[in-house]
Amino acid sequence: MTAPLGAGGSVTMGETLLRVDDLSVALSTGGSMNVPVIDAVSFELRRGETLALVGESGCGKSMTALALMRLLPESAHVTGGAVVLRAESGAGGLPPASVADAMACAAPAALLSASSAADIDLFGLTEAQMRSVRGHRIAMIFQEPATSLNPVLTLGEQIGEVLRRSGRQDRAQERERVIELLKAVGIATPQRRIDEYPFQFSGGMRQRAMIAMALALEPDILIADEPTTALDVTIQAQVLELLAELQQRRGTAIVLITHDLGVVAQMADRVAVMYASQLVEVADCKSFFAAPRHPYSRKLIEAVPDLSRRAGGLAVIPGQVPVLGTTWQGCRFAERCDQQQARCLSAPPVLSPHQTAYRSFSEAQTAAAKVRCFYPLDTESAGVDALGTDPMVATTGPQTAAALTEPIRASAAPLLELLDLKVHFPIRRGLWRRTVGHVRAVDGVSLAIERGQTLALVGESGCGKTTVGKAILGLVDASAGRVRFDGTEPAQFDRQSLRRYRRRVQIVFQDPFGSLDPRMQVSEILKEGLRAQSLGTDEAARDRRAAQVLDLVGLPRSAMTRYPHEFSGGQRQRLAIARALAVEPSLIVCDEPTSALDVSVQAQILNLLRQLQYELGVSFLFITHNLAAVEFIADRVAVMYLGRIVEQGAVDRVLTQPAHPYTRALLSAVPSIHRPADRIRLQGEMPSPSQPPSGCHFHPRCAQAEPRCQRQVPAVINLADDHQAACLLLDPVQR
Amino acid sequence: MSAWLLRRFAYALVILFAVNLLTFALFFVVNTPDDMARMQLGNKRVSAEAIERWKQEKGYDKPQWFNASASGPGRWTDTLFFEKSVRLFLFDFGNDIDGRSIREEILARMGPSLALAVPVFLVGLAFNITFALGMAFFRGTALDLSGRIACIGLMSVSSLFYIISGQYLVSKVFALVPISGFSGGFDALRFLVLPVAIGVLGGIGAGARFYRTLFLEEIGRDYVRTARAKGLSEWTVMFRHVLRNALIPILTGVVAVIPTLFMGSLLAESFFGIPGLGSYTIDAIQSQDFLVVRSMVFLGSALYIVGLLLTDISYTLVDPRVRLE
Amino acid sequence: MKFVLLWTDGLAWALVAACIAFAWIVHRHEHLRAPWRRVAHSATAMASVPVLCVFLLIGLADSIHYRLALEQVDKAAPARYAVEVQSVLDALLDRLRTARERTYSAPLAIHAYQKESIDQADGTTVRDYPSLRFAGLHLHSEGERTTDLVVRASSGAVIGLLIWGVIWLGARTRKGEQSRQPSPERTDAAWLSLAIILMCGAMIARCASGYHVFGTDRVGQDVLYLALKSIRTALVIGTLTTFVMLPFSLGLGIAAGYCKGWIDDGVQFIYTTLNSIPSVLLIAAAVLLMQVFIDTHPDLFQTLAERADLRLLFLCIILGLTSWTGLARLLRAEALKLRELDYVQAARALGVSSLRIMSSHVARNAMHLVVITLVTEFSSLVLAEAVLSYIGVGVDPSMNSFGTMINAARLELSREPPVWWSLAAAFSFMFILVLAANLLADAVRDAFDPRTATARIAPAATQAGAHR
Repeated sequence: MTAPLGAGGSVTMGETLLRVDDLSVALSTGGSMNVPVIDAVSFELRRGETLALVGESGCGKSMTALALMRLLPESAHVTGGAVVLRAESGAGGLPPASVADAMACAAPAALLSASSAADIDLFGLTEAQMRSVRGHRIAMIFQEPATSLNPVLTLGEQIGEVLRRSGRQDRAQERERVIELLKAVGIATPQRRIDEYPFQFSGGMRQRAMIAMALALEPDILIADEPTTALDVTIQAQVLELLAELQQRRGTAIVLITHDLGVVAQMADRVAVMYASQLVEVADCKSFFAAPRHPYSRKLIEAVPDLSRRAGGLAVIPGQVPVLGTTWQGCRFAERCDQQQARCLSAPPVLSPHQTAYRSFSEAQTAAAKVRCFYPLDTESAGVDALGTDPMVATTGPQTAAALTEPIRASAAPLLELLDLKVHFPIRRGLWRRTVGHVRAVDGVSLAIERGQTLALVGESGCGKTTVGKAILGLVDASAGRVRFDGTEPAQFDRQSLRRYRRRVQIVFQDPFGSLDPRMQVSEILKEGLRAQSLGTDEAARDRRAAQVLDLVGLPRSAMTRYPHEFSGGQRQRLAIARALAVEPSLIVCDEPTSALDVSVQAQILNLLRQLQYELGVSFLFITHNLAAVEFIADRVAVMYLGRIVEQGAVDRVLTQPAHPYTRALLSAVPSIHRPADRIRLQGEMPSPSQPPSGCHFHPRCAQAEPRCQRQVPAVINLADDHQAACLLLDPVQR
Repeated sequence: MSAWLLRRFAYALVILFAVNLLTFALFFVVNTPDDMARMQLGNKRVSAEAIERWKQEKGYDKPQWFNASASGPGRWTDTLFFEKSVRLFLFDFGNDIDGRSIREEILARMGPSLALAVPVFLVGLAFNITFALGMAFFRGTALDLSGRIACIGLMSVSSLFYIISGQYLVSKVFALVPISGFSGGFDALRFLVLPVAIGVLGGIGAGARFYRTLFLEEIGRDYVRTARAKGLSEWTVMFRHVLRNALIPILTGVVAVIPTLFMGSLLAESFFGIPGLGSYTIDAIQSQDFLVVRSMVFLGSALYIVGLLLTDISYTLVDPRVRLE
Repeated sequence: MKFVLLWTDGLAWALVAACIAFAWIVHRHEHLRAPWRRVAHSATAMASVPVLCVFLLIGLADSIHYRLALEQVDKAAPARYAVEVQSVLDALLDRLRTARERTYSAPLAIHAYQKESIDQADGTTVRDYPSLRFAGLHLHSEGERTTDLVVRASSGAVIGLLIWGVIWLGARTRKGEQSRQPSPERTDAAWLSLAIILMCGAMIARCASGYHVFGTDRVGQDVLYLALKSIRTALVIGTLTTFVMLPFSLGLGIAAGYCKGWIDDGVQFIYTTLNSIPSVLLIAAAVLLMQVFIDTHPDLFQTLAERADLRLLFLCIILGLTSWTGLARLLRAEALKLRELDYVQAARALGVSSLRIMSSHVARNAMHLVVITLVTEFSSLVLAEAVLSYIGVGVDPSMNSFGTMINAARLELSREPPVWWSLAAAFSFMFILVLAANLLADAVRDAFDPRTATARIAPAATQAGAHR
């Protein structure tokens, strides 16, 4: 069944360490039904390399990782294939007894050829033998560092119990080693932190601790399942850097599972793309981005928003990510593919080696590339490099949005103005619940949104950007400052006018699964606002309006009688937008509307928002942490840090000539497939808004901070026509 | 921390006061002392004088809330509410129908009550946790399923059945232990074996099933997957990780129950003739001795509130997340 | 004949109507039906459904009450009615009701339990076990009893199976071809349990026509009749209690969770106070007070049945008062969670009023808690009734219930030979009812609780939130 390891393909990075052959996994969903979630996936991993496993949600990439560890959930089981791990080369790692034990049992079961009798088929091991592989040979880190650590054990205990497996060490030695490990992953004062519990660590620090735990026994392979998805960009940059550094030092091979192509471009040596439970393309990282061979890979790359493509729409993959349980006759991507031909629908293509004519890469690299397509893309012009100069390529697809011109700029007063807005939440303590402090979620924010324009509010989690949105809608009360909307001030409104005001300002939330009431029919959802606002003369009129907004967001009218759970994430987000549009608002606050969506769907929603603005002249406050989306959608951008705006202005200016050190660091931290990774390292994490640092909030993390930054609150400085920043270093008077 | 405790304590006092008001309203306003006298004196055709005499004897002849005839603070203290309710706060319960001091009676009966309730509680807890852990360990197998169904079966049997049939079989048919009664010292063991066994048996169904769901909930968490990914054995995962986390809700839930153990168990004590607070309560209900019932209500709520306080405190001790916050 | 609508009758039928309406709504909405489908995947739950249905039918038959008209002597005078209130069940079980012995007799016996002095035809007196007045009358000799019983039991089994066959064929032909496809719903378990019930029922019915299947009690009443009559009381207590208090739990729980602030503080204070009072004592106190009220106002009740019925209703209300807090607490926690959800925030942003948000968003999405509580509370209430009646604060002593049966028979085991059949009948009927309810409740909890539901990975769930 399996050939000796390292036989296939030429070795560039080192010997092959792990080979996955036709791995198939199925999920039993009640009754006797089996739904395949991984379908004959094969790849190999070489010593010291990083293989990125890329795909959208539900494509099976996380399941693949769990299958390698034999940690599949109870409802899933391996239906075929093999995972072969190369026998250990050096000393250390597995205790000798258990190695011998494992080998003895594994060899006959693994069906390995004589030349590599020492290689281990992981599926042939007993559970006890597999346990000695986990941690020792293959380790894994997970997406959510918050829930992946045991809340009631100290870090020292949790890392220590891994060490204890390798042999008899006394407690002092063990402690020493844990401290060493913590130090290696960049945790400051490890002597003290070793006795702390996970909840006392921030997200980034927890992920570092997870990495320390995974690397404790120096495994050959590290599987990282979306290791930075739950983290902010600046923290993500730190963690990725740490991984790269550790890999370089120890030669660990990494399987990096991610949906973020920016991360892939920065980290990976090779890329494997999964779509609908199958691998569709395996290629060298550089050649993958330069000349993707599978139409899906290409679309995926093109769908990432970027400043260079502002003039047109984003490339869009029509349709939705297929649901589990779908059955196919031909190519699984065919119905979403714009290169589709008759053959694609009738016969399934196989993953086969493919040579490209791309000249700038060595033969060895291109030989290793495999693609699952009858008509793989060959031309050099398909690459990203060409895209930047020729925006029309991206818009040739039938589903891409029509090229949009800039919306007309209105000269009247801004639609919405925030003047020194503050939202403080009291912290109550003691016997009489006296207020002993405030969480300064929003601490003096001034903004303006013009009619028919989009302002992007950018910042990391916890900076207060969502609270600003809620304060605008009156969902939280402002502690100080003013919100001025179209000449009126909602703070002074009585109930009646507040309700009328809410008709003019609407909101779209991040989570498409939480933002629609699962018990309501779509028509009810859409008409809820109309009823509350007493809009429409009768039920028929409201029905007409509901149908109208469905048309606007591009959903069929048949959706009216259905329930939210029948729609995919992207469609639900369209519904949420439709609900907001139904009451004809002038401003829509979009709170991270695309960050829960897959790249291809994200592009659809961004295109839709732009189109709506063009057609209806509605203004957007686009709250996001995703700078790439900002580049695409916003006219102006405001960068927020710990309750304050540090810089704002026209998008072109702020993103190309950032003035504030934080903006610069933030921009450089975003992994991009276009820009080289030339980054400003940002130390530490954002402090808690209940105890913000004195003076400039950013000074503890600022590389250029001067003593006065500690004392003085920086004033807003006009840098250009539409570009302000709040930084003492930029102040011409002080300078 | 101390301010917080003080706050909780003050809240407890307010609740106790509300309980007192409520019982006072139930017993004196809805059901007047006249009714009580009539009931106690036996028939409906009691003379008005007899009622007055009874009320005077028992101290029920005072105004309910406010005494206009008294002077000074006596206007408030020389009232039914003060005499009968506020005094409860000083654990001054008065005398029961037979003229015995209720406080003495409670103190004397606490011992036998605890002698039954504590073993039932401890043995039951150990048994339930073990049983539940076993089911969680073998989750999804036939063993788990049959355990679950056994739990449901045990839950569906009336506690009266456990007691009546247990007493009949063990005491009467096989004559292994005395049918009922109680004595001090080690001799009590003879009387307690059966009620304790029955008490434990009666609690297995609901207890083990509840703990099983707690364990399964923990098993489904991410950190358990992490522990497995570290290569720990299933045994270590269960005992070091799952049990440790699941014990937090179990322990804090258990702590809330501990004070109420003093109240004894109603059925077992009265069936087995154990002179504890449970049988005292039942006797009082059946002889309609309102003063005793009221005292027991007060005692019960006070103990419940102590349980709440203990729960809060135990959380801070067991859960590092609460302790260090 | 004059129909009498007792309070609990009215409420019980209203409840049935409400349940039918609810079932109809659920049937029309696929997403509401889905959890019930999952309930149907459990064999034990499906097997318990026919059992519960039989109990329910008996209870409902016992909930249509009337008073028979007395013979008119004077045609002109207004019609007079019997003091005794009867139900349809009484009419159906007329033989059992009227077949009254003098005192105890063992199950299926034809002689009494105790020796009595019997006056012989020749004037002498013999101490012997007297023949029963209503059992085994058709027998010619004592030896025939066993054969007769076997014949009756086996013919009953055949009749039961025949009835089952007719129902099964009827259902099959109506459903037609669709039912051929295998489905995960365990209708087979339901059919099997229905077959067993029908067989047992027919066997008992055949035997009951000639014997006292479960014997007779101290005053000679047929124990089977008493047990069947007790079913209604158990059902009323198990269902009405939670329904009576549902508005409180829903209103206060959701208001506390959604509004927070002083409303939350107030509601929490109320339920902590109520919870802190030992529930048995609270119930005892309230029942004693109610008894005083009933005793002092005898003129309010026309018949004994009405009096007992009012006491039953009060008991339900009092039990509800002590049990609403649990559900209210769950609902409060759920409302606290739901109010932060995006769709509630979106509704607020649309200007929807708080009252409407609570009723249309929060209440609807917390319904699974209500369903789970209703089914799990049912069995514990049925069990509680027995205990309370034993303590003496349960239903009216004149009312048939499992508790009064047990209470009346509690000392009978110490007789020589022991009289076990009353207790056995009461405990086994109660056990079957509670076990069936618990098995159903277990499946309902599994199907409705989102925490257990997520444990089984459904395709839709893996789609959701694969990354943040």
